[in-house]
Amino acid sequence: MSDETNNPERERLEDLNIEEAAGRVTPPDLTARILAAAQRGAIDDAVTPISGAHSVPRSVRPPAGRRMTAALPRRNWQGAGIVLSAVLLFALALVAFVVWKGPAEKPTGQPATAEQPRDVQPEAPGASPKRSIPEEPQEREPEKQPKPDLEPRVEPKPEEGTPEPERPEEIVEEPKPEPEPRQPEDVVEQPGPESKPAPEPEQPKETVEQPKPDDKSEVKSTPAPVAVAYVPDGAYSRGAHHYQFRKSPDDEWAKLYSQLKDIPPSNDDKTWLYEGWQLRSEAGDVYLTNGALIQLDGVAGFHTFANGLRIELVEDEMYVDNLATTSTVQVTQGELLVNISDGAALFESRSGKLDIFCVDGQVEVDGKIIAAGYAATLGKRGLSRIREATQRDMDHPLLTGATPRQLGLEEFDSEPVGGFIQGAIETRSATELGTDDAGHVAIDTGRDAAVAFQFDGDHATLRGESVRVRYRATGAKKLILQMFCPARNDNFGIDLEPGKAGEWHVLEIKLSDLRDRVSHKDAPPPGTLLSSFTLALTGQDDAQLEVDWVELVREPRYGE
Amino acid sequence: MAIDRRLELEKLVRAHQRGVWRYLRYLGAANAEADDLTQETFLAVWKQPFDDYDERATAAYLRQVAKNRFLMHLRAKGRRPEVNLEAAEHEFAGFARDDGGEGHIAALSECMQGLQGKAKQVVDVYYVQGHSRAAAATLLQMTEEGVKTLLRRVKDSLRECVERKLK
Repeated sequence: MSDETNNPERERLEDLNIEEAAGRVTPPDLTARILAAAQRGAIDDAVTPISGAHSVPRSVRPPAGRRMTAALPRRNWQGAGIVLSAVLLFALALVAFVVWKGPAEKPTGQPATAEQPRDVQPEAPGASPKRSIPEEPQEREPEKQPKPDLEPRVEPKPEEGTPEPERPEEIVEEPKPEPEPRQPEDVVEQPGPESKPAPEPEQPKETVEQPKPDDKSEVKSTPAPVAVAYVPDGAYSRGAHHYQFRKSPDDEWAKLYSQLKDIPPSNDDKTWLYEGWQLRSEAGDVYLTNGALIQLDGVAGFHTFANGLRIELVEDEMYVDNLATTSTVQVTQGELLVNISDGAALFESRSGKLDIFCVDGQVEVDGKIIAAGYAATLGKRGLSRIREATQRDMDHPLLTGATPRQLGLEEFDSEPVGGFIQGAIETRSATELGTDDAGHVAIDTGRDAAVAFQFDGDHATLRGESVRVRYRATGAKKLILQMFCPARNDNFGIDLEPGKAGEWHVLEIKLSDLRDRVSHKDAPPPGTLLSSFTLALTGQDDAQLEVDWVELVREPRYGE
Repeated sequence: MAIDRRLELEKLVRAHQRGVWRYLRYLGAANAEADDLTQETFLAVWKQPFDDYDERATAAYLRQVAKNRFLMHLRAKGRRPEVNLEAAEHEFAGFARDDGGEGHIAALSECMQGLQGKAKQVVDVYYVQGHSRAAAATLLQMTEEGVKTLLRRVKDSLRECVERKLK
């Protein structure tokens, strides 16, 4: 199981397959498109650019490797089209020039005769306006070159050439002819539009512009309401924190427990808080959906923003532990804003100002960093001088009296995600468990009985972290708790007394109390990656070890 | 294009286009890129006839051409592959077998129809609607870690189910 999860290529393939099987993305049928492209390709290949006469089915032509003449790539066709158009236009201009200029030198030149009847008609006094409209586009071209030279020549023989009668008019309107000297440039540009219709250049566009089934954003829908945080199981039922909530600042406060009936059914015991809601509590625990812990002694509102979650501290104080989560938490008070990407800090609202004490990691305010062990005050004028935290800061009741942040929990209701290394799951009644409800345990028997499982990915340890275990052992002489560190290829562990046989015990061991199992000297520093948990015993042949749950928690204290 | 050549190409495309397209997507091509590169792959192969030993060999050859085309495309765009290409080819060959992955996807679809409750919801929110894990957590009223764990379990069960069906 574990090697499945450490194979990113397989993970990626599985994700894509599930997306496809779920109908989100399916391979398109490109048959027609490919055949059409091949058809065009066949035509390209079959006609040589030189003569255009070799249109032979590809099947009867020599294999590609033996061809003597390679088909021109499409870009050359495009170029050829442009050149061809330019040549045609030049020829047209030349003909027009000859037609126009011809009469000046040859009064009754033959080339002009074919067109003259049309051109001659407008020469009639009343007809000129009608004529000039349709013929303008054609006449402009010949005008360009001849004009400077022809002006004097045109005058003597107005009747002979088509353009001639108009030229004088245009010459009279000299201010307008100014654009005409630029027309030669237009002549060059004109082949442009003609080159567009060249057959090949359009084809690539077709392929690019194919309609495509795309991306995640198209399918997204955001059902309301958006849950931002939750009060963990048992926190309010302990009765110590008196949680109250309201859905907007204008609503009345209500007991949080009562809102359980309002929310959609949930198969866990969390009480969810939604975007825009406010919570009032007396040092109560609240977890954000990214795993961050808030301990709130006052009033806070819950919101989201593009990159994370935002907590508006409305009254009093709160502690936020956002170490090693995946998103940023913003703490705001009015326009004051603090970013916590990887840190833990205490906030106190004080007459429009926000006192900040960074307990671990760091927080950021207007580009300034407050590191662990330092404090400052944020007001409308900005951040005050950053000072070293005092003992009073460190002894704040929210730090010394709060419950630890839960970093991970394995309750053995099903096999651990990372898989068992040793042990198996069994069901126990409430009586057997010594709890209110029936449940499951992980169990192993024998003189080396052990419950061991892989974490769901490596766990990076945090400062102040502890491991807690509820277990029961019989026939044990000694217990060993250890966690494997892949980087060292060894365990960090601790030897323990097994406690009274047959009774449930809860162990709580600080990770800083674990030791390298070889030297027995080094503790795992914060940030150490651990991959598995083991609780093992040494004892009698019929020894038995049961583990109800294993929990990783972090104490919110500075300097651990 | 001669009729026999056209039929030959059509047969090749119909048999392998889905596998090639999937492979390109797997390597990191966006949908539209996969469309274009699939087309280029078949045109390239069609212009340079090859020996057709069997479906699996042909599929492997097409994937090789597709991969080269994709790498050229990435180079032109200044991008790099998102996966280890060697490992990806190995994984994909196992998945695709000789039908481009059709059998695998069909088996997976059947297995997914058996999902219920939160497992079904998380597949819908994460894979169908395309929400991030964090967003899925808020929508499903779970923690992000919880979603991660649930997804892992769902994938494990689907993997086992597909393996059973394909045996």
